[in-house]
This record gives sequence, C-alpha cells and structure tokens, in this order.
Amino acid sequence: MSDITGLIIRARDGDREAVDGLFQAMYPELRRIAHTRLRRGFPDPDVGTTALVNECYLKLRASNRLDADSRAHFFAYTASAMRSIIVDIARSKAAERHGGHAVHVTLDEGLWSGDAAGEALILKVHEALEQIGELDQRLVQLVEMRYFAGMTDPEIAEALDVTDRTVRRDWQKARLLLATALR
Amino acid sequence: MADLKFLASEWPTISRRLDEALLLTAADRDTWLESLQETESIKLKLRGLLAESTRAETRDFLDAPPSLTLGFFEGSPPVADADAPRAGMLIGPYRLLAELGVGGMGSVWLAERADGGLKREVALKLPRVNWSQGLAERMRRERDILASLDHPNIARIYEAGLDAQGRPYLALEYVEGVPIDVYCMQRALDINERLKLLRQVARAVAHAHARLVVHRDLKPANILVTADGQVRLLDFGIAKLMEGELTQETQLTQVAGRALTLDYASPEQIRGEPIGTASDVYSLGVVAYELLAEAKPYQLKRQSAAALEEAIANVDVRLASVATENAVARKALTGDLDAILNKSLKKNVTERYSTVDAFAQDIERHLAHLPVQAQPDALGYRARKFVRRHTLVIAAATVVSASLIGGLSAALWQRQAARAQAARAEQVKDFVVSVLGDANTDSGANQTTTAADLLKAARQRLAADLTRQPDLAVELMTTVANSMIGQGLYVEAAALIQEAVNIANQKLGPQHELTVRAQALQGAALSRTGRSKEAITLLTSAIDSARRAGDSHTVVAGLGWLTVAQMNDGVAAAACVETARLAVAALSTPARTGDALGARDVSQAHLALANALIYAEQPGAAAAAERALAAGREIYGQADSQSMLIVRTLLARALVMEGQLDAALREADRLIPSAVALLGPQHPAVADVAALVGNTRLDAGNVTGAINAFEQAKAIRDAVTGSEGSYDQGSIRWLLATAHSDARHPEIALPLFDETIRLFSSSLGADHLVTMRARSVRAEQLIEAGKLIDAEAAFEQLSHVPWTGLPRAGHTMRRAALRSAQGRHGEALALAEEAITLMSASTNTLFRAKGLTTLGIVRLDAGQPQAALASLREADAIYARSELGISPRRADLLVALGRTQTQLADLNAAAASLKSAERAWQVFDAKNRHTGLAKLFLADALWAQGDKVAAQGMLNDAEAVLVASAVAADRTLLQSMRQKFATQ
Repeated sequence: MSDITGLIIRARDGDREAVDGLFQAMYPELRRIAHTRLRRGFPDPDVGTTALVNECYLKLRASNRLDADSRAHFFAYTASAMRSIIVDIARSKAAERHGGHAVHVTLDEGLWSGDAAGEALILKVHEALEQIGELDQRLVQLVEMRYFAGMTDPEIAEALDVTDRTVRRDWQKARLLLATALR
Repeated sequence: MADLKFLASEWPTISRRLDEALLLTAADRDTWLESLQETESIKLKLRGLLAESTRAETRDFLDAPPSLTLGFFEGSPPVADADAPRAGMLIGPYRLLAELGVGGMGSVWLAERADGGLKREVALKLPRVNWSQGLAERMRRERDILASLDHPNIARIYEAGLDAQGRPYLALEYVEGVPIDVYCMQRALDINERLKLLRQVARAVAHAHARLVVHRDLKPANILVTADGQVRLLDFGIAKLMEGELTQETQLTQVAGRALTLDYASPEQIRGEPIGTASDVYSLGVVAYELLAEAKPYQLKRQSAAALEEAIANVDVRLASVATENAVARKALTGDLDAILNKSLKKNVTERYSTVDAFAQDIERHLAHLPVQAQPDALGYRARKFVRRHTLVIAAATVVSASLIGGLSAALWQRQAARAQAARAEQVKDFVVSVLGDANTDSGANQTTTAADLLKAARQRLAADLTRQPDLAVELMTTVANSMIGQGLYVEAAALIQEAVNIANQKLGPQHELTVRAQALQGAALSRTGRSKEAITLLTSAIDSARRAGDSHTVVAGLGWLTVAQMNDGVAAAACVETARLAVAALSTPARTGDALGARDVSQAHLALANALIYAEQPGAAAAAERALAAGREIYGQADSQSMLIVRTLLARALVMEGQLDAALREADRLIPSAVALLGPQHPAVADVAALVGNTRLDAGNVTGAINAFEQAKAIRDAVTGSEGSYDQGSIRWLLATAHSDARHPEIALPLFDETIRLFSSSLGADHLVTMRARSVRAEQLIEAGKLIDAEAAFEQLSHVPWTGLPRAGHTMRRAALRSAQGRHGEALALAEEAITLMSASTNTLFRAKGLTTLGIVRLDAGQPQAALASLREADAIYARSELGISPRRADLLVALGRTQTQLADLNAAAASLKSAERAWQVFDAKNRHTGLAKLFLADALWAQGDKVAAQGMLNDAEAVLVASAVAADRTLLQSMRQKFATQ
C-alpha cells in the first residue's frame, strides 16, 4: 500500500497521529504548488484552490504514493492543509499591505487583483471556523472541504460517507453560523 | 466580529432544530418557530440564526472558493495585461486575428503570417509554459516529428517556435469544421454513416501510430468534420509536447482542469502509467461508443470525477446496445458492434485491439458484412474471431528475438558509466568490485562461479543496499538486469527491471533519461518472455520519450527491440520492416571511425532491418546483415561475441534466400560450434543460432542437418527455466515437425504438430491465426499418413477460418492435395489453380515451388500433362537454385516430372528424372514409401522403354517397400502396375 493511502486509512479509523501526519505531508506540497503557480509568464486568473488540490492529488497518484480509491478522503484531509496555506498567505499579504513592501504595492495598486477585502474575508472565515469548532467539528471539516478545497457536494458526500442531502443541509447550517459570526 | 460562544451550551438542540427548519421554506419558518416546544432562549437563538439565511442563501455567500489570483500571493510582481495575447499582436511571424478558444493549456488564435511569408490563416496555439533552457531546440525536434505526419485527415503542424520574448507558439492548420459528435447530431447520421466517419478517424490515427506518434488526447473536440464530410484530427502529439515543456505542476493542472471530464482517458492514463498506442485505441473506443450508442460507457452512481476515475480503472463498460436508448441503434449495435467496442475498451492493454488498424479493419469488416475479429469475450454470442495476418516464416523469424535483445543491448548501457559523474562511476566500480570480491570468496569452495552466479549475487546485494541514491540504484539495477538477459536469465531480469522501473518512476520521474531507458529494457525483456503486447506499449512510449529528449541511442535500441516485439506479436511483416527502417533512419550522422557507440547503433539498426526483411521475405536482408557485421567488427574485431554470432547467422540465412548456398551453408556449419564455445551448450542464444541454422539448412534441402540443429535448439529451449508452455517451445516444435514432414515421416511429424498446437494455443490463443495454420499443416500430414477421413474432418473444422494472404494460399493448396488424394481431381484442380494465383504475390520462391509441385501432380491426375510439365519444370528450376543435392521434396518433384514425361512419351527424360529421384530416395531413406513410389514409377518408365527385365526387377524392389505402406492407395497402385506388366 502506498504511504499516503496508509495514512488516510489510519486517519479514517480515528488515528489522530495519522491525521497530523497527513497534514505534515500535504502542507509543504500544496504550498510549493501554490507558489510555483505564480511564477508563470501568463496571467492565470481563474485558478482556484480546487486546481491546487487536484494538482497535488495527481502528483501523489503519479508517484504511486496514493491509491485511486482514496481520492475523496485525500481531498477531505487535504482541505485543512489548504485552509492553513490560504490563511498563511492571506496573513502575509495583509502584513505586506500594512508595511514591508508598501511602496511597491502603492505603485502598482491597480494591478493587484487580490484585494484587501478578499484577504480580510479569508481571515475572518478562518477565525469564525475556530469558533464553530467549539460547537461542531464536523461543520468545520465541511467548510474546509467546501470553501477552502472547493470540493463539490457529491464529492464531500462520498468522503464523509453521507448523502448529498446531508451535505447540502450542513452547508446551509454552516453558512448560517458563518454569516452570524462574520456580522 | 460576532462571537458564537452564546450558542455553545444549547448547540445540540439548536443544531437538530436547524435541520428541521432548513427543510422548510423561509415563509413557513416563522409559523414553525412559533409552535416550537423549546425554551424561549433557544427560540430566540434560532430566530437569530435563521435571520441570516437571506444573506447566507440568496447571495453567493462563500459559495466559491477563494480565488488565488496573481496579486494575492507573494512572489514576482504580476504580469501586466499588456503581455496578454490580443487581436493585432505579433507573435513571431504571425499576427493574431481573433481568439478561437481558451483553455487550461493556453489560448488558440486565428492568425496570419505578417512577415510577407505564405499568406495563409493558421490556428496559433499559445501554450502557457515556463521558459526553460533548450526549449527552442526541443520545440524544433517536436515540430520535425509532428511534421512527419502527412495525412489528409490530420491537421498539419506548420511551425513551432519562440517569439522574440521567448513565448512559445505552435502554428497549426486552421480547420473549419465541427466536432464529430456535433456533426453526427446535426445531420442525424445513421449508424453506418457514423461508422464511416470513425473509419476515417481510425485510419488517420493508424497513420500516426505507424510513425510512432501517439495522440494521447483523442476526444470529439479534437476530431472535426468539415462541411464536405472529411474528418480532421487536431492536436496530434500536442498533449505529449506540452507534457515535455510545461512544468510538472502545470502539466498536472491540465489533467486537473479536465478532472471532471476524464471521459476519454484510458485506464493506464488514469493510473499514471506509460502511454502507448493502445491508449489511443481506448480513447477512440470511447468516442465510437458515444457516437454509436449516444450514451456514456460508464453508468455512474454519483457524477463525480472520483467515481468516473474509479469506473475507468475497474468497471467493465456496459454493452453499447444496453446503454443506448434508441431502439434502432440497439438493434444495430447488438452483436458485432458490441464486440468491437468492447474489445477496444478493455482495461487490460493486452486484451484490446493491438492496433488502431485492427480496429479500423473490424469496422470495415462490419460494414462489408464480414465476420469481425473482435473476440466474443463474455458477450454470449458466437463471434468469428480471428486475429491478424501473418507471413509464412513467423516461427523461423521469431527465434532471433532472444539474441537481438540479449546480445546487442549488452553494451548499450555501458556508455552511461562513461557519461556519468566521476563519483557515480566510482560507486558503480565499487559495487562491481564488491560483488566480484564476494564471488572470489565463494570460489574457494566452488571453482565454477559463472557469470550467472555473479549476477545473482549482484542482485542480492542490490536488494540489500537500498540506501544509495535512486539514480545510481536504477543504473545498477538496469545494468545487472541487462547482463542477466545476456545470460539468458529472463525471469530474474524481468523481475529486477520491473523493480528498477518502479524506483525510477517514483524517484526520478517518468521523463528521466534513466527511467526511459529502464522502460525500454523492460519492453525488451517482456518481449523475450512472450508478453509482446505489453512490450510494444512500453517500447512505443520509451521511444517516444527518448526521441523527445534527443537520446538517439535509446531510440535506435528501442526501435530494434520494437521490431522484434512486433514480429513476436504477429504484426504485419511490412509494418515490422517499417519499424526497422525507422531505426536505421534514426541513426545520427554517419558514425566516425572509432566511435564504438555509433558503430553499435549502426550494427543494431541494421540487424533489426535484416531480421525484419527476412521475416517479410523482402530482398536486401543480406546487405543489411553485412552492414551490421561490418559495424560490429569495429567494436569487437574478429573475435566472437553473442551479437556477432547472431548477425552471422542472419547473414547465412539471408544468403540462402539470395541463392548463395555454398558460402551460406559452410558458414552455418561453423556457427553452432562457435556459439557453444562462446556461450556454453545450454545458453538460450545457442538455441536461437541452432534454430536459424536449422532453417537455413532446411531451405537448402539438408533435411537431416536441419533436424539435428532443431533438436539441439529444442533441448535448450525446453531446459530454459521460465519458458514452460512458451511460444518459443511451440515454434521450435513447428520447425522440427516441418523438417520431419519434409523427410516424409508423418508419424514423427504428427505428434510434434500436436504439441505445437497445444503450445501455440496456450501462448497465442487457440483462435490465433498461427495456431490455425499449424492445424492446417498438421491436417496435411494426415493426408501423407493416408488418414484421409481424419484429414477431411480436420479441414472441415478449419473451413470457417478467414484466411488471408499467404496462409490462405497454403491452406487452399493443402485442400487441393486432399481432394487429389481422394481422387476428386476436378475439385483439386480448381483449388490448386486458385492457390497458385494467391501465391503469385509471394517473394518466397520455396513456398511457390512446393505449390507448383502440388499443382503439377493435380494437373497430371486431371489429364493435363502439358500444363503439369510447365509447373513441374518451373518448380525444379527453383529447387535447382536453392539446393546443392537432391532433397526429398525435390526427389518427389522429380517423380511427378518423370510420370508426366512418361505420359508424354518423352521416355528418356522420364527415365532420367525417375532414376535421379530413386537414387536420392534410396540414399536418404530406403524404407520410406516415397522410395517405393519412386521405384514403382521408374519401373513403369523402364517398361515403357522396353527394358522389361529391369522394369520387373524395379517393380519387385518397389513392392518390398510398399507392402509396409500405411497408405492404401500405394498398394492399389502396385496392384495395377503388376496387372499392367502381366497383361502386356
């Protein structure tokens, strides 16, 4: 069995160490992919986080570190790593905006397609999730998968082994909490 | 930001109630809240949460994932929009006119030349790539490969280059057309019209495959149909081109970009395995399925990429006739088309159509209402199911494979050491020294440490020491595996190389030079162990990669191996020759003197060519073998080596084909002892040499010598481990049986043919055309043994075989022989005339001579002695050129000739022919019934000449032999001759 698949199976059986192991394995990989993407010659406006996770997935598949039947669970466990990456980057962007490379930013203001509001939203969602985690860890997982990893409802249903309907309902519930928290 | 702590204490209840509320419409929720049996605190909190629902649900609140726009990340400053392609912009010599499309890979523009060059509109592809060193060079090479595709149904690639800013572009033929699925739908084409379009597609893909270009991304969007109904394939090989140029991340994104539409990806693509022509067969199968059934091949419980991926990898497709919702289509699809689609969509490459051409042929057969070749599989209907055409000498030709692989490849890898870093070379040396050191210790107890033992020891050490760097490990494993092949340790080699390929793929990546080379060697090893289809896939893929990387040595070696793998797989001879010619064409500039590596390539390519030409019975084999020999001598000098022995053996065989008997046979006599001296008596390569020498002798009429050589080869092949029930064992029995048939010993030949058929059935399949041919030839031996009823039954069983080409000619001629033996001369004559017409296409003169002999006998028995004389004389002229003495087959021909001359009252000539025949038979095998028959007809000629005493004596001699004959007709003949002598 391939190493990542092994971790996924253990994680599914509730092995906390394995969950951490997955995070440790995925975080640097995703981060690297995310950053490499930006050193490209052409603008790439429609790249979502989904593509990053997909890319990471295919990479691991290609190197035989992951079995085909682990796809959905892989996505599920990668989602929290994805969240960390996006939050980290949003934080550093926000920091840059307030100091550091401020001059440069000002000069090219119009070209920054990432906006302060976008970063703030990400950071707020992140904080709200910390709170939701106190109530219902499952909803946190769902938001990570749905929002940060861009998984579809059927994919999430498959990963969590619940029906699509449950996913849709939980997502509604999570959004109510998020909307409340973000107010 | 609000705090959610206020929900904590009552969350389980709130959560449950929310579930209920969310099932209701917003309007109903107020009423529901009112009637709720909960504390006011809870109600209040619920009301508060639900109040957010307008915001949370009606707007796209957090619905899309955060966008990773450029400016969002740290890193390089964003690229100005000014650089984005737009109308009017100049890219290289082209001016952009209008955007045709944009996708994950980049954008496509309608463009025209702006530099006064040829005014034509092109589709200009602007891929998103990273600039990297050597990009321009690789683009140029790529363009050269793709430009070799010249087919009316393939959109041309005009140019690939970089503009002044280093942005790559590809100029392609601009095709005005619509995707094939849209075209079919718009025009409401019926099944046959759709099949005809698919046939066009398949023919075009086959054209590219013959040039070793794999499409990799066949889908309706890439298959356009023009207004006049002509198919145009777009983007041939572009997927691969992009793969080579894009960063690995981007490359994966492209797949990721399509992750939700993997519909046309093959199982091996999903698994991330090497992609060969078989992958295109699969993708084309999916396209065909969708066009014909108007349904998807997989029924998914859940429409997700994961489910589709899972289905492609593991779930068998539903029958198209089941999937379609169109009653007319269902009827048309049931049967052949189900079988064709099923065969093209097999998970396992080896079960799929071996070529796109075979797929196209089946479509053609279906359109022509002929039985298709697709296996019936679990379809539950009885399909006519025969595969591929073969030339006559497959058995003979394939014996070369072992040594082609073992011998010439051996040195190829050595160059790695020369090129490797000094440190790496040092480590390789250390490793070798350590293995030899161990062996020396061993040799205290056992003085006979062989090369094979050393290799096994090396393999042990490799397994024990997994700490080395991956490139070194792969290199060592490849080298050891290659040497194992040289030593005939095929099974061990195959296992080790598999391991090397796995490590290489994981640690070095699929495009790494060492990975590609290991993959090529794995192909060679698989071909050797009879897994030729897998070998072809691996080799095609490796050659492709090597070609793109500019590694011409691996390209040449790979094409040489591919030639052999194709021969082993029964690919049409002309295609094998084509592959070998590609190997010769791939040779870089004329090798300099003293360039061992170049010389090796030259030798290897020409060896492959000689082999293929012999297989195809085309002229030029001797010249190619001479060239291989000369190049080999530059490396090895005059000393023997395994590869040089094989080259010499092929040369001898080619020389026999070209009529240079003396030299060839003398050389053949030297070859087996040389091979034994060099390699030891049990080496598989000795079997190959012996089999080829046997063949050479058989062609030259030296039946006894041939039998000896074949026996020796058979003993070695049977002893080689790992080849139980192998094709090799079958083919050597075929050859031995053929030699015994030539010696007119059906009682020995028949059991050998039985074994051949059993071995071919298990290795090739019972329905394989080669197996069928073995059965046809066996049936002929039943005639020889006088078992006419059995022979009749055997031929009856073969009557449904869709024979084509030379096998058809041979089978028809054998049926003629049966009818002749049954005394049904009219039918025999019709069949024999048909057969000889079919043979006129063959360059194999010995095959023709045999046919002419049968035709002559049939004509004589049908009362056409003049016509008989003509064919028999033509046959004799052929044998006179190919034989030094008089072989049994030629003696039989002379008997027929003598009988004809007797009938035509050319008595002196008759007596001369029959005396030669009688003497030859007497020496060869005095007790054979054919010796008796020669004597009998000689007696008749002598009688006609008036020498009654001699005639009577000869008849007595004939009787002494023929009383023991198993053939009833022989004794009838004897009886009538006795009566004739008594009454006259």
